[in-house]
Amino acid sequence: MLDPAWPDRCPPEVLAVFAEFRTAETTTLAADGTPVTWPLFPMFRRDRGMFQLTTSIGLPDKAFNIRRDPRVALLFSNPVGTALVDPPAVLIQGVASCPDELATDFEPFREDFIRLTRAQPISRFYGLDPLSRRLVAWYFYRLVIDVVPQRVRWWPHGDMTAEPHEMVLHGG
Amino acid sequence: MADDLTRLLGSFGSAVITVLDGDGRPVSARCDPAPGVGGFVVDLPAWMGAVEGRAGLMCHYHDARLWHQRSFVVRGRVERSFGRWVFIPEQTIPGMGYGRFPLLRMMIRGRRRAARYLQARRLPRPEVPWDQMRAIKREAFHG
Repeated sequence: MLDPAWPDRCPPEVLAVFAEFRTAETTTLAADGTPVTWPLFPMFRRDRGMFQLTTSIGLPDKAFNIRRDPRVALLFSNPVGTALVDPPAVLIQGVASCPDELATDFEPFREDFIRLTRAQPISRFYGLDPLSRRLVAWYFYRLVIDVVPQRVRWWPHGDMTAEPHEMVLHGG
Repeated sequence: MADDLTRLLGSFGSAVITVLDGDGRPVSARCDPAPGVGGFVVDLPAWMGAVEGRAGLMCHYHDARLWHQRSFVVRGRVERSFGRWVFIPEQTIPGMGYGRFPLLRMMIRGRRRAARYLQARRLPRPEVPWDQMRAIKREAFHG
């Protein structure tokens, strides 16, 4: 069950991390149970109390892992590129879903795309000419991953050796 | 493998270690792995509730403009040894920025895997809305 109001109980510095960080170190569980982590661009849906991520079908292992085992973790521990001063580290544990539907319309992700393009200015050159479109088209065949948090932990100053502040949500 | 990995880890400020907690959920933390006997000694704070077993290590870097990306993953396991946690590496998986022509290699491999994904589902190759993308990018820089 989703508790969409949990962000209202988060301190502003934690919400700033969700809004500003360029990457969430995202873990899914491989078939043999190994936790496999890659950095992904996180999209926080504050009004729905959840996160969205996307992955290309050319890099589908995350999707396959989630369809097999929905348990995931998102760690926000790399503030490079943000204007935040001394932000906390934040860890989300939750469950994810990744329907087998291709997202080929960018409009629902317009604001995220604008944020990503501003964060990564070089990406404005992707897909400008026919050759690069042939090379990169696969990258834009995207699957959407929904992450419902079950437990939120955070550490002021990013000091993860300390005991965390913690918010346990439904299922956590 | 251990020497190569030590060198690789040393080129990053820290790593992300992910283990499983008592409920089998992945749990991650920043760490600074130190070479030890048979693996790398890692500090896993008590709050992680770590259990011995499957584990992963990941390093990544990007500059302030999300460029010059480098990343790699190490699959392995964690064990308790003389009161300390040791990460035992098994397989290194290069991500961005490693090997020869990394971007080109990623493009070719990604294109092949995407084609296989579509083929397995008998789906046609989707049209990318390039004009829509261009309009959004224009908006990003010119408002």
